[in-house]
Formats: sequence, C-alpha cells, structure tokens
Amino acid sequence: MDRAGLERALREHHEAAWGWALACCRRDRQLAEEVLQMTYASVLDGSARFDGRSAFRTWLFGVIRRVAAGERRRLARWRRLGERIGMLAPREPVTDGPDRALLRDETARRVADALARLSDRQREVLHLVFYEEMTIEQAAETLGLRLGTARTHYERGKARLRALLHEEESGR
Amino acid sequence: MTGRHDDDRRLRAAMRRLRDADRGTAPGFDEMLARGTARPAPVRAAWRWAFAAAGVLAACTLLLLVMPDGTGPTVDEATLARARELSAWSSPSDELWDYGPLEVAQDVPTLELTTLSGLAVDVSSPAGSGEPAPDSLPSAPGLV
Repeated sequence: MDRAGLERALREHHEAAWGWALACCRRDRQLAEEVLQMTYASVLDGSARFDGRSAFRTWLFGVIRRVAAGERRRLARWRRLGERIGMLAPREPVTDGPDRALLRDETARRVADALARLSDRQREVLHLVFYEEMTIEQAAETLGLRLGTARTHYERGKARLRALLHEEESGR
Repeated sequence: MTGRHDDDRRLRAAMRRLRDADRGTAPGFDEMLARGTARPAPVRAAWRWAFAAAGVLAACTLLLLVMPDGTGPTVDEATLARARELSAWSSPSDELWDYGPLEVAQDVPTLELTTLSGLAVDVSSPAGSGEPAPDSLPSAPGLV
C-alpha cells in the first residue's frame, strides 16, 4: 500500500483508532493523543508495515496497542526514576481516567468508571467486542490471544462489568 | 437465557453511548497526522545498541586515561630506608650454617648401576611370566 492509500485507510479508521488508543491508555487523553500520533508516524514512515495478512483495522489496532504499551512502560520508568531521586511526588494511580470530566453522558461515564476497574485484558476484549462490535475471534486475533483465552476474558469481564454497573446503580 | 441476552444488550447499548461520547470529543485526523509526522523519528533499537556500545567504549577509554601508568605505587624515602634495614638483618644463629672447609653439602652422592654388581635384574622378561629371558642376563644393558 502506498502512502496515499495508507493515509486514506488511517483517516477511515481514525475514530475507531482514537477509541482504542483511549482504551489502551486507560483513558488518559493526553497519552492517547501521543500514542495515536506516534502510530500514524510509524505507519507512514514504514517502521510499522502492513503486509495484508489481516484486516487493516486488526493490524492498526495491534500497532496502537504495542505503541501504547511501550509508552506506558517508558512513562512508568521515568516516574519511578523521578520518585527515586525525589523530583516527583509519588503519583496516585489513575483509576477513572483524566477524561472523565469530558464525558457528559451519565451512562457513558458510568461505563468508563466500571471499565477502569477491570483487568487490562478484560477491558481490551470487552472494548473490541462491545465498543468496536468485533467478534470474539477478531478480538482474539487483534490481541494475539488464543480464542479460548479471549473467550474466558470476555465471559469474566462481562460478568464483572455487569456486577459493577449493578452495584453502582443500586448504590445511587 | 433471555435475562442474559437482555444484559448483553444493555452492556452493548451502554458501550455504544461511551463510543459516541468518545467520538464526539476525538481530536481531528489531520491534526494528529501533522503532529505525528512533525515528531522527531524515534530512535530504533539497533541505534540504541550502537549508542550503548559507544558509551561503554568511551567509559573504558576514559578509565584507561585516568588510571596510573603502571610504574607501581610511589613509596616515600622513610619507608624505603626501613625496608632496607629490615632486609639487611640476619639472625645470630646464621653462623651455625657456616661449614668452613667441609664440602659435604656441596657433593651429592649418586647411585649408579655399577654399585649393583652381583644383583640379577630382569629387564626383558615378559610381564607376569616369571621366567627370565634365556639370554637376558649376560647382555642386559648397563650391567657390568
């Protein structure tokens, strides 16, 4: 695929890529923006190459996920170093994401809060299946998981998400 | 079963609301692309290794430059004088080792085969046979 074709494909999947980047960055908007920029740059400069073995969206989501994981590791390393030399105060872990204030829809906010309390794997599988409307097979391929493993994360994550939403509803 | 499907539907609907909310606040594609391509290219892993190797090399070179040149540690005069004094000392009983004209300690006796005359030494019979070779004794080398 040439550069113009890649740009067209990226533009077509931009909104989905943004949602996935948010999910991979635990809804940290600033980090998600950086991850998306780095992903686009690496796709266009050829550091990440699409070989057509999977659907473009599946491949793009894989790249975003790897870039996000790398950035999160890098930030965690710098934070640890900063704390060790006393430059930074220990930071509270982000549980509900800095973008919470931007979600005006109450239901959307509640789902985002509940998702933040799931494990990374469960959140990723549920995001792909419910948010991106992928099949569990496609979600497994995107995450590089066996189908059985993806199905387990899906079932457990769904049960936990349901319980969290119910708990939150009954607590109001 | 129906309850479970209803739950799934509700989850799906809730996630769709989140998706719509996210898409409403998504940054523009052109802006992301422009900022992404304007970023400095990330340093690739191979270059990282090269930088690390160059760093190690520089550190070793620096270490060699600042290390002493190998002439050994410098010793002050007082320590040297004390060392000379100590090494010149000898025990008073060392005189006992002086044998004078005796040459006993200079001549070590050696044992030669000529001193074994009269002894029969079997040097050629096969091992374990117990029988001496028929003509081994007269022609055994070294026996006089």
